[in-house]
Amino acid sequence: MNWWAIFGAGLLAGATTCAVAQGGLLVGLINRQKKAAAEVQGAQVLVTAGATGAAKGGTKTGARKPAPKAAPATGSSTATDDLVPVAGFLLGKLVILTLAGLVLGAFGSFIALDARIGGLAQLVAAAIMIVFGLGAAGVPGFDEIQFTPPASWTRVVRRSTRSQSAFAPFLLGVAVILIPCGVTISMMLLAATAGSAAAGGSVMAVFVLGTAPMFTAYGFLTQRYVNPDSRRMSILLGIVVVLMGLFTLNASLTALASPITAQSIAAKLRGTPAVTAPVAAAPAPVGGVQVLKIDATSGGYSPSSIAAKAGVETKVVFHTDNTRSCIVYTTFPTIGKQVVLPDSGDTEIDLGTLAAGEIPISCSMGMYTGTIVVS
Amino acid sequence: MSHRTVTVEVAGMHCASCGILVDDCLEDVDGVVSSQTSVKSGQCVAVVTESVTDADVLAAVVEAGYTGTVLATVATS
Repeated sequence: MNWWAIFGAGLLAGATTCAVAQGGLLVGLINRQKKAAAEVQGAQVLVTAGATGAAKGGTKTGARKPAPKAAPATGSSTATDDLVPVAGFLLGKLVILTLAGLVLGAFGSFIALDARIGGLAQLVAAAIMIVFGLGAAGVPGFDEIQFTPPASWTRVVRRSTRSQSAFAPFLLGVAVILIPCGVTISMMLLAATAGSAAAGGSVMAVFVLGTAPMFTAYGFLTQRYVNPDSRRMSILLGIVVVLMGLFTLNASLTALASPITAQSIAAKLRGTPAVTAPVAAAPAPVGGVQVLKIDATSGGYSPSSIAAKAGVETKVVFHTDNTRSCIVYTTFPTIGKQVVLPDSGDTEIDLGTLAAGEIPISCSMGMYTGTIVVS
Repeated sequence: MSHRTVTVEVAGMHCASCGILVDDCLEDVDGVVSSQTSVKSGQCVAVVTESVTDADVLAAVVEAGYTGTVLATVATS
């Protein structure tokens, strides 16, 4: 998982797409609360002066209220006054989207228990990510494809922006999960294909943390969230999301044992075999059985390719030691075998007698690969 | 009190948040009774009192960070 790419997507999204509009909702909420507080203060002063009933004087028909988004910070407000609601909003968003990532990651890893279904689900996720990425980049035709939430969901968000509660910014941050933009949905799909609940939660957490700097800067420094000159940033964001979609697409093709993957295309272009010479020699058979030992770490298979003798009964032993990634769902896509490895321990798989050729090994998400070269 | 229904074409919206933001800004204007924005159609339908002009409606749309064009104004009771 390329965490920097996810953080970068968040960074760009913080100044473009829905984050900008959500910032506008937050600033509106803050200014409404400030105005209400000022009105209460004013009414109290009038009551003290004996001007009873003055609080009713606020209904000036036809008069335009102070524009909430353009209102500068009031003279009495401090930097902390403005930063606290922004932090509350981001915290709410971080909590809810991380939880969503955990659930999606767990669901995705459950789906991936069947490598074929997992691969197909990844394929669909990749296609949606690419479409939303092209939309974010403003490619004609794709930029009109949007998720339209039910009216009841948008009503919840609208109510949140009118709340006078001290927790309103936090609750607004939680509520915006109901109105995700295409980029946020793409990150959710990436979380679902991350391979585990923890990885899914981390994807969403890193994304939200990535949105924080630009989001805070715009809201805090300018006190308004009008669309900045964000065309270039939108294009860049779209490219990042498309690349993530292509990465997911390649992972799904790998998991489905497709002959066409980025690796095979690159090898063809280089004019070299798709798989390099095995880095580990074939072990000597003991009692007519050759045992291939492979470490399955959180970062991949070691050795990544191992030789084996054809015509000899073969067993593979995967060694795990505190391994916590989708590699625990290991599959041999071309021979239809798969296994769930424990966090730590040795797991033996009987492959029978092998014929010459290459046997790919992959995690169920297609992110980590290895090969047994039989000759 | 008589009302008017103003339909505005809003440009630049790309997600549900944008639609809510437009409604939010419009409903902060005194005399705006309600506002319903559809991101899909790119249109906002605002019900306003006599005191609110088309320019007020467009100013609120600009306030939200978008550009608008009044498509129709219909008087309602």
